[in-house]
Amino acid sequence: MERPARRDLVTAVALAALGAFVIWKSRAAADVAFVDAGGVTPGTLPTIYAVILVVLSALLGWQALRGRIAGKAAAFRFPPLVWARILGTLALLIAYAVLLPSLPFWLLTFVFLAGLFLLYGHRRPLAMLATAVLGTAGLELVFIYLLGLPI
Amino acid sequence: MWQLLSGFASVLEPFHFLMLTIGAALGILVGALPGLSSPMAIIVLLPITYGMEPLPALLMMVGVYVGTKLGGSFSAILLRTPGTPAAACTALDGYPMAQKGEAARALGLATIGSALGGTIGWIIAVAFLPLIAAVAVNSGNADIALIGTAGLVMVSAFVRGSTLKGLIGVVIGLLIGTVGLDPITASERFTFGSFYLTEGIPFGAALIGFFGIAVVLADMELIGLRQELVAKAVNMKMPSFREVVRGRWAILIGSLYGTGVGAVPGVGAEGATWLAYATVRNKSKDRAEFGKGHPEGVLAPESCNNAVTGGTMLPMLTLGIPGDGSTAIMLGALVLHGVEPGVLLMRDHADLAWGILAGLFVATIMSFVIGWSLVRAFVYVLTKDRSWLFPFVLVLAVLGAFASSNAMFPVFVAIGCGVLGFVLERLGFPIVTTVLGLILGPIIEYNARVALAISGGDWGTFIDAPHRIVAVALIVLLLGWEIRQAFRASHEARAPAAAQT
Amino acid sequence: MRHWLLRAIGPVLGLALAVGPAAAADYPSDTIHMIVPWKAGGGTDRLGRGIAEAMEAVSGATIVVDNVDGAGGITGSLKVARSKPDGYTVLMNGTSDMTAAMTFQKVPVSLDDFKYVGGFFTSPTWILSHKDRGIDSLEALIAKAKAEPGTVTIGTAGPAGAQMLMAAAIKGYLDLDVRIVPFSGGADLTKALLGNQVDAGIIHAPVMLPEVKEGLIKVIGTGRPLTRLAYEPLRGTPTLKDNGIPVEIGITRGVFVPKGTPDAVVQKLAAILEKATESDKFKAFAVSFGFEPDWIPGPEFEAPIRGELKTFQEIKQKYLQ
Repeated sequence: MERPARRDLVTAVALAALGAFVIWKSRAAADVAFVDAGGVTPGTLPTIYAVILVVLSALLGWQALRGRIAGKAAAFRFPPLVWARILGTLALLIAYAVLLPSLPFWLLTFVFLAGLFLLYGHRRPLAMLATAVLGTAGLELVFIYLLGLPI
Repeated sequence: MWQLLSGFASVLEPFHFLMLTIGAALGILVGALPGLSSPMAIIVLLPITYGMEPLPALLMMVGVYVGTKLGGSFSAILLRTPGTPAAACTALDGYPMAQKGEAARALGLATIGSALGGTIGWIIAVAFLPLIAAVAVNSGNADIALIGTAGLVMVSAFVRGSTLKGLIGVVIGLLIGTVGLDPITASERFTFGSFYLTEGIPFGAALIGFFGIAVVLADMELIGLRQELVAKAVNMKMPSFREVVRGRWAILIGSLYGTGVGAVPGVGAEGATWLAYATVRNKSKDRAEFGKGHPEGVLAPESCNNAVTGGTMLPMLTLGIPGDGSTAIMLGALVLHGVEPGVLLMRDHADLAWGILAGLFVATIMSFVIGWSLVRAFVYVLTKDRSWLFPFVLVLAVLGAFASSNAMFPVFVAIGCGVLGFVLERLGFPIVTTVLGLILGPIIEYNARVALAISGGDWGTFIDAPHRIVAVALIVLLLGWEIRQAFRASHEARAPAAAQT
Repeated sequence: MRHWLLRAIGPVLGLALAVGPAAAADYPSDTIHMIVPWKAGGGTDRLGRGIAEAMEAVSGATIVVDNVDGAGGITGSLKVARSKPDGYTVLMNGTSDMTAAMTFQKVPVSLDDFKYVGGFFTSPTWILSHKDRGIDSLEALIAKAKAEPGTVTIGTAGPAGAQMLMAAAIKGYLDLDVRIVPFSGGADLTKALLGNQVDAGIIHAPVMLPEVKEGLIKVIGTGRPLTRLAYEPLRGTPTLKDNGIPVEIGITRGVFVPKGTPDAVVQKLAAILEKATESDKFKAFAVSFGFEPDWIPGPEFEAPIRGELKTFQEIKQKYLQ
């Protein structure tokens, strides 16, 4: 099977599974119906959406099996460098968010910016440092000093 | 009439005019920074205004409010990350235009669209004040549910490539929107025991993730490519008068949607822009060009989101009902300045109310003037190398997500949506549709269920007024038309698809 | 104004040196963050900003209001409960908003996680109706509900708050067949009332007072006596108890701090809050809001809250399951 078709098939199966999960969970949802709203309960709309999802996913899977690709998908063919950058960015981003409550804003932001500059291929230490310092100073000024963000 | 003129006179007093202009300039800047929004800026200015009279305080806030509507489109066009949620739609055609090297033209169109839309919206609001106030008061939850459903049905306007994947995208958005507490019974849905999820997926943070972080991840492969730097010589040409005239219908339609939807508290600028865009696209002869840089694709949403300001100001001033977050804060500001908002504001504080209305118009003009002169500067700064810009975009995304409710949870939501958006886009699902589902889903569900609660479970409430019957008929027609389009498209696709296998 | 350097060096030094009891002596020496666990622009937010301004005026301290909304006020309350108990992070919330939220949700925070500094604004929760509906009083509403079962609609300013509990109490104690319509918040209910779309609406007083004064909206009943209302003609409005519903519902806005906060700091904060409540500036603001302010010292502020939680839980159990 062609790669795009296989990808679509996998996606279709995953989505159908998600739909089934939602339907299952919605049945178990507590129905506190002290408001008469025409028979619509907390589980109604999610169930409708999930049913539609399952139907559409089935269609998608069926099309994939027949080799008809739905839409142009550039998918995940990246050179390793780009992958490294993507994952590195995510790692730094998550670390930044996790550490923000505990460490000073200016410190983390400086490290974050400098780290990303490095990751994206900059090699001139002076320019990187200058931008990171100025950038951090500007952000600290605007968000912490002026706006008083309790970060 | 008299009152309006004296309102203008007050606005043009030096101090008042200064506050208004400062507000507009700040608004454009705040709007252009991805992550910062109008309510945030206004709430920060609130303590600063304590010492002032109510009018200059409100004028500054109105300035910010109008300015952010324009500023948001600047980063939407140049970075594909909307500065404010209302500008997300502008990115659809604005960004491709910028990619073609026509950044200044795109920004110019956005500026003109905003100015004209704001003006038209204002004229309609002032001229039809009592009518619009009546619309606001008499709009029922059933009406809002119908508007929302109509928007959802127009979804195929946003699908490029595969209708099927577009619809799946919408459903995914709808499902994400159901997470949290049920709006009617407050019972937990899909919260998996997490306390934070009871709030649902915060929309602002999700938008920052889908349109900000996902963009950074998706465009990572463009970093360092020499061609991107040399690129198309950035063309600083601004749009011509003739171009604007050609786009007059888009502007008009956008303005009408904006004023109308803005006057009905509950839908908001975010939803209205998509409706306007879809309508303009469906009516257009060059439908295929939308999404690739069609000027009307910028004019429609921009005039819409500025016309919304005319729409939301009306219920705020005549009824004391806020149309969105910013007007809610403005109402609070009135209270803190000793003015009671409510049905009597226009009567008991006529000077103030008309001053604010006049200020809205002047703010639209000023934001045009300031915006137009800043276009070149923005193009210069924001078309720099992505490898310098992206880190800042990410920091702003984190700060913006945090500031949306001063907590870290939205930041993680943003990151999560960033990853999800990235994955979905790569698989061929247009995340635009997911965002649409996420915006409109909760609105439709809440309003439909309240309407049913009021009517006691009687579904007839959705067709018990002439305008509702029209709305339902329209929805059914639209649905039918879209299904037909989908079939036609798949028939045409059969030929090239056969060649693919 | 911010001490820029302090913010940078403070946390780092703070990690190394424990800041001890000396802090109480010169409280407040830094900016106080008042967390309002609701969106900006709402009723609680306006009151919070009003009192914050007054507190600044009487003490010279800097008070910054942060809106941390979510989960009916619990997200912000949780944040304060878990913050450093040094008196620089305080919560401003309403009593029945908190107890109602705790009644409806399983929340990771309880009334025991706080110390109660004091209350400054008490208001009942009232029932409104549009003048064209023809319902003049709670008695009339009840009569209509009995005569036409299943038709009367009572809107509430939220699906899981004190207002909903009040609606449930009315429905439950009198065994009425009414339809409760939970709106998303005060703004949506206000719109519905102005548009005459429901028979009655339950919302914290004094929201909609201007419309009431104008005669557009009527106050048909109240959860607690309206004797302190700034609009005299309505002070005698019948209460729930007058109509056979043995429940009192109102809301007192006050300030809370995390339970580990030293008593000395709490005393100082209470003193500032008391002075602010009784200041002319805040009095004028509160009256224009609708009620005279009412300083309630810590212990009295805390006393009724647990009883209220129990009452709410009973109502929910009996009538909302």
